[in-house]
Amino acid sequence: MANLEADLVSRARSGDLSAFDELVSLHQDRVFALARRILGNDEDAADVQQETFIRAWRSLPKFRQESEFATWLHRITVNLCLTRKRSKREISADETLFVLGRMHSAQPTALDSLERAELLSEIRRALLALPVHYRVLIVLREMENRSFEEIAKLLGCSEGGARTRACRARQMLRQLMRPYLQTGEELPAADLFEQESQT
Amino acid sequence: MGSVCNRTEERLWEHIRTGSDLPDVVRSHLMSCPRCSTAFREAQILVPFLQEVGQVTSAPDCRAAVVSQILQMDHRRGFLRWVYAAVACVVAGIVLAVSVNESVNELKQKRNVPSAASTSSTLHVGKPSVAETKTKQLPAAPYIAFRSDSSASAVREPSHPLRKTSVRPRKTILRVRLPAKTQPQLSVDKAPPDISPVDAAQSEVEVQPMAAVYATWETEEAHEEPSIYVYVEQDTLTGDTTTCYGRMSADRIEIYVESKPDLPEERKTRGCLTIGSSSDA
Repeated sequence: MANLEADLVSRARSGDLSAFDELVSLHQDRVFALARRILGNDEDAADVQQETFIRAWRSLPKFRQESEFATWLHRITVNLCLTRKRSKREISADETLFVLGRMHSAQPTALDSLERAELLSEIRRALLALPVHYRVLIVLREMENRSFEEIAKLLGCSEGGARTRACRARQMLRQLMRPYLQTGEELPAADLFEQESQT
Repeated sequence: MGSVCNRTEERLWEHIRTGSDLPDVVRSHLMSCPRCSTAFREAQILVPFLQEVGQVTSAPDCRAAVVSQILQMDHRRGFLRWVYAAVACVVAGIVLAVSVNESVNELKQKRNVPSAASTSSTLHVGKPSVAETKTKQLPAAPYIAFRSDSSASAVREPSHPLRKTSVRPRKTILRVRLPAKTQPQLSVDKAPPDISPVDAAQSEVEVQPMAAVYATWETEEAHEEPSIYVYVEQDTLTGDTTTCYGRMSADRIEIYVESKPDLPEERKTRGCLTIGSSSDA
């Protein structure tokens, strides 16, 4: 598989469009999924998906095959998502606080009485309320299960930087979702594992 | 939240997400830290939902759109390349045509060759002009490629067919006027083999053809022996060069100018040969 891909990349680099077409076919689903998770809607994600491959075609001569093609491609995708959100005016810190306040002022609803769909929609909303550079971390780490080493490569930062940002992102997300995460009675910490093992 | 709490939270989320084991140190911290135990409870709800939110079931097939955009892009780029080449050729041709006559006439006078044109009633009067449409596109030439000063060594007739006669800073302009019997015939073409570029190995400067414009016209007077001139002009500041080849044979003068390629526009050298007449001399 890796050899096949390396061969396709080499052929595409020399201008073979059919080889590049095969590469698109191999990677388009993951690229779309990544963009969809970061941007939160199909339309923008489809635009980014196309733009990613156009950029990749243009930049192929510069791709030295030192990293995996998929990693390189996903880095383009993440960059395009970040650019797109910035160009569409990223939600500001003030707006985040506003959303946070609005969500907190909503009547806290017990989890058991909250419809599952509603909670999912609140999580989506909370994700979109996160600044995009935090959202990317949640997507890459918590949704795509990527290692911090890979995340650091994708974002062009250090592993430590990625960990710190992921930590802040998780805390911010929990804070945004807190009204919906009330579990009622506070269990002693020791019971947490017991409860977990039962579930 | 301290760094221990941060590390603990990371482990907890990973534990919920992947089912990895929790080290004892994390478990004991969790027992003693109310913040982390709250974070754990919240994460237990949040993480599975995050996984669900992250599910993307169907992705559009973008292959056709991508390939079509790439083809369009390549087509546009290829077209632009042709446009730039054509514009460069036309501009170079026009620049040459406008200046060739004056320069060659001046050269002739410097060499003290009697100009039959100055007394001949059959002289072409006034500057021969190139096609109107081309002239309109002519940018102002920054300087003239044919150049010399009053000293004899600046431009001289070589004793052998091909010889680099001068490498000098620009801005001194040689204006030699020769009578033109006919309007110059311009062709954007390669130079003929016998006035091919200077041998790069012998040349002090790298000469590569960019836009070869070849102008030919008949003169009033005949020359017994063909003579070939090569002028290499070098900008002392930038090192950029322009090379001119002139051949005078029988009653014909041919000029071929080339400039070093791949220079930024503001540094591009433009040869400028003026087609003049005896009345301008």
